[in-house]
Amino acid sequence: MLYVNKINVSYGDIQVLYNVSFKVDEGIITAIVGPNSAGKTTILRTISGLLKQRSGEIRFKNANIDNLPPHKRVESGIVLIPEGRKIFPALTVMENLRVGSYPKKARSVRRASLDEIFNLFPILRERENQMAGTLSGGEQQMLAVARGLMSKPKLLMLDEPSLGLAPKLVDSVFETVKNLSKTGITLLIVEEHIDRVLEIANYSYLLENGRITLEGKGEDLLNNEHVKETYLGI
Amino acid sequence: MLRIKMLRSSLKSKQLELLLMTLIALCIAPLMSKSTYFLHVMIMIFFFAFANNAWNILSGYVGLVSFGHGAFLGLGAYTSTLLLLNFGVSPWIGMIAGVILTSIVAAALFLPLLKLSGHFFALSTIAVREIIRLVFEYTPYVGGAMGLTIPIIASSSLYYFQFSSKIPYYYIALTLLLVQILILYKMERSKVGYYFIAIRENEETAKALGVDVKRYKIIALVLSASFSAVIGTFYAQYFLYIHPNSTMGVLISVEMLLSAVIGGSGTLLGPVIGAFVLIPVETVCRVYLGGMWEGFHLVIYGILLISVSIFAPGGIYGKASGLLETLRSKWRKGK
Repeated sequence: MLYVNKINVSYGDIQVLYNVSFKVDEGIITAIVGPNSAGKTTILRTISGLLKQRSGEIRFKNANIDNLPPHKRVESGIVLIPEGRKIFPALTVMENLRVGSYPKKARSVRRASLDEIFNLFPILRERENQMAGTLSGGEQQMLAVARGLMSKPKLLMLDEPSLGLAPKLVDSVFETVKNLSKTGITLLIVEEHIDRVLEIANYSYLLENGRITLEGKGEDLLNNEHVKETYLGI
Repeated sequence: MLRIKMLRSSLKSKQLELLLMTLIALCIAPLMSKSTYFLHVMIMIFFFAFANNAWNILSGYVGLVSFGHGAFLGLGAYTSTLLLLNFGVSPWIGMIAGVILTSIVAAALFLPLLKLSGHFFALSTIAVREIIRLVFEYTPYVGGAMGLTIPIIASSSLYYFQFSSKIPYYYIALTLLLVQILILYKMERSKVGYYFIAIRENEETAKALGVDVKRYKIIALVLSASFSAVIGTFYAQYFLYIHPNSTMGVLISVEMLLSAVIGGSGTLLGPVIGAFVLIPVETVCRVYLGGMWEGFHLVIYGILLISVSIFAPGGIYGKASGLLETLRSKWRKGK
């Protein structure tokens, strides 16, 4: 579904990604794991068009999307749930959801999407008219995901969905991700909680210092000596 | 649950009642008091409420703080006045011409500034406004530093937007304000309004959710400039004298944001509430302290501005609705 081919990305003079290539297959969960500052967020920002790669190519559904601005990429089905939730605190829960629901294809099915989302996150229905800033951390993360779902994504990219959440909530976040995958959405997830995400991902890549150093099925990566030693401390 | 809903709807209807009563009071006020002084204060309140609402679109909702809105107000005033003086065009038509011209100038000169953000945007708006003001000051054709005086053409004529009594100005200003509030009310609850706020709260996230940030910033800029031009024409016809400094200067540009900031920027009623608080302060100061303490109202404005920044960063409206929200949630918990 998504092909990233040898992209090089820099912030000013500092290069962050070196010849990064990977693919995301339709209908499964793909994960990119790696330590802090490896460039994981940069990958997602490049795919959603917030950053431009210096070289390399990104193809989505067999079309080159390199020259599409971010909002066109959203219309074609690529939606990013940014790191740190970033809900709009001064808007109510409902208004936050509305902001996500305006891309052309999503607009006509807004009612249905809302019902689906309230099924998935019943707590949001209860909080419908509350200012989003007054939600708890976990609820805000749900809202951020729900807001992304309102634009009917084909590929949903999650940036560190477990960041800053209590362990119990981390469980429920990953549970949600699994459930989302069952509804047929393709997911690309970036995480530092390596062990947890590898358990649910169908295919994973390890990113270190801006380079993909390892790839494979989730359990393969979990059993890899290098991963075990460096990241899992076993 | 049901009781909460009932409470909410009763609150809504109470708000509606209050709104209607205020509206009726405003409509019949000129009939009750024939004092031109009172009418002038009210007209200035409507004027500044309108001007601050205009500023609020770009700076309150989208968060691009501008100190340059005097340029838009001045361009509106000059366009209609020059058309009237040279070609006898009705100021109402001049108003529309002003809106069109101001939108074009805003798009041409302020568009490049939209790439800047935060303090840099604010500073650059001062520069562009000052350039426009200086051009007017040094162009004899538009009156130069002397400004333009609109002669009395008719004692009372809707066509020429001139009246000897203040009452027509009162109703015109009130109507303009009400129409504007209605438009902004619609805007606030539409895609455009939500996108504006999304851009203010987090530009990157807005982009990632499919907001064409650049496009919506331009929409905000043009809307904001257009409303400023409309009230510029009103300014010219009310005072019958315009001057680069009074219509495009730094003072008017700051006054175009004061009520909004003190009342609550980025909200529908904030600027209006702010104008109702600030303008009476100014007039009272001018009348009672005029001779010796000229400009004393600016001291009070300063004190108010500092107090609001410290104690109510969301402005009077923000503070009030915040208090209401806490009360409501307390009531909910107590139940």
